[in-house]
Amino acid sequence: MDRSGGDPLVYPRVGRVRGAARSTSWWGTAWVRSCEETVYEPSDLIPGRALARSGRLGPVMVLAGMASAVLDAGSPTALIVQVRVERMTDPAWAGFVTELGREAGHVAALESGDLPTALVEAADASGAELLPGPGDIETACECDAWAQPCIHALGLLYQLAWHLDGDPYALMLLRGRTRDALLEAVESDPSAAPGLDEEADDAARRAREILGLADEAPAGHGLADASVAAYDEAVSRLL
Amino acid sequence: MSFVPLQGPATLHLADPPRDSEIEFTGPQRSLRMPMRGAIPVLTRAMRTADAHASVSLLGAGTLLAMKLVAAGRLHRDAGDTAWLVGPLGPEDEDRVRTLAEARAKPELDAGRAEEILRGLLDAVADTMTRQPAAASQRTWVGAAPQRTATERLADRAAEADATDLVTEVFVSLRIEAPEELLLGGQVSVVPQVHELDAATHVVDASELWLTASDQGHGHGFARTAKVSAGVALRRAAGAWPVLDRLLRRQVPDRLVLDSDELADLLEQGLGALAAIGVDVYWPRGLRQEFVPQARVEVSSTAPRDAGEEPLMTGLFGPDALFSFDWRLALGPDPLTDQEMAALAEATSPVIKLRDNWMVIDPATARRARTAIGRERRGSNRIKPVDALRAALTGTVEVDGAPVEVHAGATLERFRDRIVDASTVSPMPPPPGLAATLREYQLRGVTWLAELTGAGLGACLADDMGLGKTVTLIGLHLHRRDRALATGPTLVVCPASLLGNWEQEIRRFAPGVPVRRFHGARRDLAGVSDGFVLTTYQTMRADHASLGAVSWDLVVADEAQHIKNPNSSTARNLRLVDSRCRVALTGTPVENNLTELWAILDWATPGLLGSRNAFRKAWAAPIESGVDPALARRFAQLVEPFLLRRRKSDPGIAPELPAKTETDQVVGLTQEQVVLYESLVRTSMERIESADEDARRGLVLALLTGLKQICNHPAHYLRQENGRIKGRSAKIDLLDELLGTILAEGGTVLLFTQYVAMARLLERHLADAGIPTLFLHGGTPVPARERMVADFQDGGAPVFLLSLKAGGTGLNLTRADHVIHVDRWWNPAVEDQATDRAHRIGQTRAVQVHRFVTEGTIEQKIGDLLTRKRGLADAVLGAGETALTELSNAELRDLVTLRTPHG
Repeated sequence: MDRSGGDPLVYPRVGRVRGAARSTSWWGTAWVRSCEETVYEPSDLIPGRALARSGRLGPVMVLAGMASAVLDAGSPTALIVQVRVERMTDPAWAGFVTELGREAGHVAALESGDLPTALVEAADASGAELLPGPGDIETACECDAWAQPCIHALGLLYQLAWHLDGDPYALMLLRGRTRDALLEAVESDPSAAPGLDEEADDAARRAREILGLADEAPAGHGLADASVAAYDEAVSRLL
Repeated sequence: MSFVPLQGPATLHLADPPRDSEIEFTGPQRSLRMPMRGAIPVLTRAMRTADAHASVSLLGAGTLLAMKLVAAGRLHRDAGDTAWLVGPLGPEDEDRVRTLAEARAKPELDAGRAEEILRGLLDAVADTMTRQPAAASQRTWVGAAPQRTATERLADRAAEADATDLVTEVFVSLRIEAPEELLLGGQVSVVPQVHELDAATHVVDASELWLTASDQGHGHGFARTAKVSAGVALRRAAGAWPVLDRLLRRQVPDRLVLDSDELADLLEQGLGALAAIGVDVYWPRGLRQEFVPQARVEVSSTAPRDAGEEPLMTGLFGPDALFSFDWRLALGPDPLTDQEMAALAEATSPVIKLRDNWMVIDPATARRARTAIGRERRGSNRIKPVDALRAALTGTVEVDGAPVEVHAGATLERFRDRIVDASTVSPMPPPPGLAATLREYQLRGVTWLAELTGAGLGACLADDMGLGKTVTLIGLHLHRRDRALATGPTLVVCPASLLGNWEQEIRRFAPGVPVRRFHGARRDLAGVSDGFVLTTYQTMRADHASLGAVSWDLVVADEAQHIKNPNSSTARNLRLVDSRCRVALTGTPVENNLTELWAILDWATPGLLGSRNAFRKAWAAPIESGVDPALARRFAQLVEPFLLRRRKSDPGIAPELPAKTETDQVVGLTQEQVVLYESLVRTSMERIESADEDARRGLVLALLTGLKQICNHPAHYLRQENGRIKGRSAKIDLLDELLGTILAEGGTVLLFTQYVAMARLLERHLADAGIPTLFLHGGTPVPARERMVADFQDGGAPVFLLSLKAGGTGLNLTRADHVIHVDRWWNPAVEDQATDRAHRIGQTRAVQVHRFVTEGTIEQKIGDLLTRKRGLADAVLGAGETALTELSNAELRDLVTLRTPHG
């Protein structure tokens, strides 16, 4: 089953932006950091940002694993700019889906336009690196620049960061999965078992604290020993 | 508990459920059998003890392993759902259990037996670590969807195959569950529920949505996407009340156990925040009983009453009166007992058991119970008489910033009724010694004042001007003497322009009662023991020390709007003049400005309305913002008994009023006027006495005219068209007083003077005061006159200035309800004609005529002549001023000589 299918996400053209237009989300900022690391010539960053703000880029279309836009559409010098992002592997996605299903709040956060750090960190630990590194981002452009990303591609990369800010699902799509496919996968994830009860969660938390205390437990017999009394008291409070 | 013998053998005694298991430690002298909760701290540190017995080490190591498993979430409920057990264990976990058992095996204990003990211990620890017994979490709540059988589910699935309209749009609510086991620990649990957006009664627990896998069908009728919407809705709820975050961190947001602190937070913050975003919270029936505060105010002790005295009042509000205030919560109709209040106050958790029922109480309620108990312990549940009265009148009392319904005890209730009914009880007989027949409403006024002052309370009589506040007050003065209530003189503080009027009315209506003016340079209070003392606000302000030294029975503030600014030195110094009771008189509608009303009533009955700031906060600001009509009603209940205001137009009053009342307003002369007056008399009389017949006539007329102008205003006589107006003539001060009251009532005035020059002065003065006027004089062309008359009748200006002669004919000015004659025209017929411009047949309003008369001057003497010897006056004055030229020198001198007022 091709889970990358579905309609592209299309973001309307961004008009001229005055002043700085920084990314407002932590993942948008991370995206920008990765993109900027791919640059061959650091001095391209400034014209790249200026291009993103210039209003010259047309609507941005995001498909599974790629995004594109037309620069100066309608003019004789129009250029097609493209970004390719390395898709996450199926096993990586499976790991991501498991993490996504682990907390009810994760899907709710995505639906509300938020990307929980806890989700991304847990997915990272399971081998699913959602945020693309510099090596995962590749650009192409019709211009005759000899190195990529050219400033046109940089402009597109910066604009993508703004779109990612409001829609973390766009990031998923760049990594190869649509929202619908993700939600479907969470539903049918075989590794998702009904969760633990609140009491069990709570007991686990207290058990961890007790183990922490036990690491430092006093060695005395407890006869007139204040540190033993304090230890017993501290553990009792966690029971 | 710290000393537990670890060197001897320890035994695990398993029980069912495992949490009830016990560990028995053995020492050289004794053995100690401990429940799991007590043993776990000891066992977790047992491994650190070098000489611990092998069996202790086994249990210690086992306890730590159990902790690790619990920490890793290796927990499940047993089949009967009565206990929590360790497991399912992965291969690694199984390994650890076996390794541990083998390592600790001893000759007397083989590995198999050790493993058996170990597994029992793991469950015992696990079950102890979960605070809530597993059974408590069974879904036994009211209203929950019954568990469906497998067959039903199959049927559902079949039915659903063609169901196309599954619900996708949802909202969430929270259901509180409170099984006994949780309540014992001060906890409750929260279960999120998902409702169909358009059919709130279509509801399932959130866990149902999450646990129904997509291939199992949707027996609940919600689509799969409903789960996503529900998650978003829960996230929003967690945004409003962050404790719910824990729910979202769970794979299935099924339920959340709230500890005491979280429950308190839910009650204090959460409910409000959740309600604000439309998330309802449902409580089990009976758990959230409403505690209704009940407060009671009653006399706790009164000063011993004199035998035979009316049982009412004086004692009740005397300085020794004590009122106690009892505040407690009631559950339904039954107030809590002291013990129950104490239990409430001492509760450390919002969950308490009261009258055999579990309840969840707001922390604020517990705090209030604590405050109430603290109040009682400190003895500060005593309240001042005015506060008690306020509580009795409004039926509420402010407790910790919130209004609480309060009931008055029987004695206070009787007292309250008497105050409230004071203005409607049948009037008492007229006070003896009053040389006037009081009208019905005036008698009611005296009765009302007598009741309130008799209770030691103040009052504000705010009748419309012209209803006879002065005579009413004189009636009160006489009444208090008649009943032997008065112990000192009555002090009247009024504007200087009204001093003469007061004195005149007292002499007229209470002949024989001593009246003294405390005014001017030679003022003194020596020997004052009874009767009236009249003073002005100005004198009072300067000399409050002398006034304060007298033990007054009654202090009256006439035109009490003079003390409407409580920060003025007038108001502050008046408060320093002590008396048994105080009465404020005013003709302006004080009730329209709450702050001014406060200032006046707070002087009359200090403390009744609370401090100014408290009043602003509790009454004025909310009433003016108009949000709470009930508050305005309560305020009226509080204020009405102390404020009597009758209007001329009131149904009960109007028929009693004569169509026309005429009042001579007696004012004094200023120093400047006295000097001008006396020197004019002196020089003119010398010349008149030596003049021949023809010259004499002219000189007499010039003298009379000059004197009348001086009485009006020095600037008038001196022809100072732009001269200073204020402070040179009491007529101007009186005019300002009258106009202030009349215009505040919405009244209109015809202002007559026979001199155009005086009219111009008045016009300028009123323009400076921002009062619109019309001005008609002999030189006004006819079309302009008609325009002005029409303008006045349409309400274009409240004051119409007329020169008397011009006003005499053809003018219909029936809109006016007051007529002021600034100076006298010595022909009554002409004066009446002018007055009749306002008072005509068909006029529905009563007209008041005010005639300004300067005291001791020719004006007053001619006025006396007019009233006392009407016939003679007609004969003498019929022809107007020229008749006066016929008087002899001696008669003339007698007429014009200035008499100084009696001091």
